[in-house]
Amino acid sequence: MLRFLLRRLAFVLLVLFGITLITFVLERVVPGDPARLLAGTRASQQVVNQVSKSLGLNRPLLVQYGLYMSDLAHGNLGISIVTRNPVTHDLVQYFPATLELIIYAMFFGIVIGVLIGVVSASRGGKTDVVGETIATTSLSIPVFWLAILLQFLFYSRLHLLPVSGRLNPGVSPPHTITGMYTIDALLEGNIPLFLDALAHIVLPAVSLMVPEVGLVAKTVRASMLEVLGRDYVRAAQAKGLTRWRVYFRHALRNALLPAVTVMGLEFGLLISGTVLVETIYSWPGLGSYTDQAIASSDYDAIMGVTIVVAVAYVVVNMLVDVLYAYLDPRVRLT
Amino acid sequence: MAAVTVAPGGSVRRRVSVVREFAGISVRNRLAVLIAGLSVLVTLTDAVAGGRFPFLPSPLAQNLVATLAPPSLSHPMGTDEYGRDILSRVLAGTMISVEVTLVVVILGATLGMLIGVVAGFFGGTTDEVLMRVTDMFLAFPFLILAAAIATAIGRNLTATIIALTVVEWPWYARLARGQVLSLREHEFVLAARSLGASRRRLMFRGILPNVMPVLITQATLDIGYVMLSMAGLSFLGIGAQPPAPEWGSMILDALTYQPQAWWYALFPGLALTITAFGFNLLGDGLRDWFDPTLAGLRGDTGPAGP
Repeated sequence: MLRFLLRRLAFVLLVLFGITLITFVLERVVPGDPARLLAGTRASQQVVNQVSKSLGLNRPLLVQYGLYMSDLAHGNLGISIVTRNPVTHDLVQYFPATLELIIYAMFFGIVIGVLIGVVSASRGGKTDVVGETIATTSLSIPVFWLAILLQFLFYSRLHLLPVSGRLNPGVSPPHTITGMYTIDALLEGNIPLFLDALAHIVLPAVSLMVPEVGLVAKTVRASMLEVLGRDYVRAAQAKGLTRWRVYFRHALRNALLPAVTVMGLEFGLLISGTVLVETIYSWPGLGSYTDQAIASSDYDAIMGVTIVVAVAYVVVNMLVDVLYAYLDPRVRLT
Repeated sequence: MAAVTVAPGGSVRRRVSVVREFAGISVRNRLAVLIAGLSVLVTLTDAVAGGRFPFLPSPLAQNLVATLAPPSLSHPMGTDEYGRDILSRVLAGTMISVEVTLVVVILGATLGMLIGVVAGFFGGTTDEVLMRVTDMFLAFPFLILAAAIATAIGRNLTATIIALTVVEWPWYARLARGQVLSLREHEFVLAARSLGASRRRLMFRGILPNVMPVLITQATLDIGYVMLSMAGLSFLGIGAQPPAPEWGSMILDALTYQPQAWWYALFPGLALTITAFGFNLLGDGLRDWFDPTLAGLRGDTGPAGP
């Protein structure tokens, strides 16, 4: 176990090194002047030069990269051109909103997906065709288009759910405990605030959830089909256990293993989805932050998001492997 | 029909068997072949006619007296803010989508296959280095990579193709490597090796042909995903640029005119969904065909024999 964690830690460092290097080189070959952007369009050339010097932009690329990495080791990710705050500050501020969205989307995506997958595989016939069609459709709908459709339907037509931001205008957010409004409001015991936050998260979370449902359903269905013919499932059936007990207690437990791995690998997909969904719903999270950073060539911000996402991805997959070993005692972590 | 089947002409018999095959497959697979075939047909027609569809207005032709017109007989899908016919634009969008997607999938699969096969076949340090690099690329958030590439070489479809290829290849590399590792231990490869087959012969005659079906299936399954990602990049403004009739960028333009001009965003998105759906079904069908255990209780049959 310790060896496994050390190996993974080494891998995190490798990923950090590789990804920052690639992003760094790509960003710096760009014909654009971050010093000019930061100083403002009306600043004199002298001021621009000064800013350029203070940012170290006049030094060789390799030296710049070395400086960036040494700053990174000290937890300094530079300053965002858009918000003019330290990038670390921005990331800490925007991360909980995105995490909240992802948790809701993943949780309901997995629950619904597992249900569809299990029912599809075990019932077969027409049910399977319906289940598979739902799964394939959910993987074929563009997330951003779905988000716009839902916005149109629930806001413009039905006036049911809010479609922008995290709370109604004028409502002050709960005290920051986790930064996730629904959870913080509950912890404060403020039910109206909780309901307000919940209403705001429904549509973006559903938009983000849809492809997840299809993916989980397909993986679970495939691995259920592999497991259903096995002897221990037959034995459980022969013992006279109820169908649902056989499916959910005996078959699903084993069928979930491959599904868990796929979910971990697809975490990156979810992150990319947040950029699209958050932009449409004005959700103040990492996705919107990324979109702004991309639009204004905000190097340090883009780099900061890249690092956070890549590290999150590696950590999630490490957790998946640990979970895998827990679910299947035969798996040894090396 | 039976008389034709016994006729000596090989080509006739072959054609009939294709028809039979089509009639014999499930409704789902027929739908898949239909949609995928249709989108390829639209693409070819567009390409032959120079980026527009016959009998329809050009996708770029503006008509400033009929801007944002709702669907009607003359414009079945309505018009956009410049009075351009949305139906023509949606059809022309098929060409862009299918072309870019196929380029990305073919490039990504080829590159990934080469790296994966080399890693699996040679093993040892080569394998270790190649796979760590592959894992690193898997951790790269594709949107951000695409954004970085787009800022470096410009916001256009070339940047989209490069970005998506860079994101696609690691999956194929992992898949190909896994296949090679398991194939290496198969009896027929061991037998060929003990008969003194050269490494090159083992790789190109023994292993590669058996890796291909899995990779082709995966590639087909990926088409839908790549298509959606490409539209997503255009929607964020870092892919296709106006006035190109690309589905994602049409939906982005439509945002300004929501919710009044509902048809503007609806039809490009619908076209995208249906096309992706068709290719996803096609991929599922291929997968079931090569690996009948996944066909479930539906009763599709796979190819006969090993």
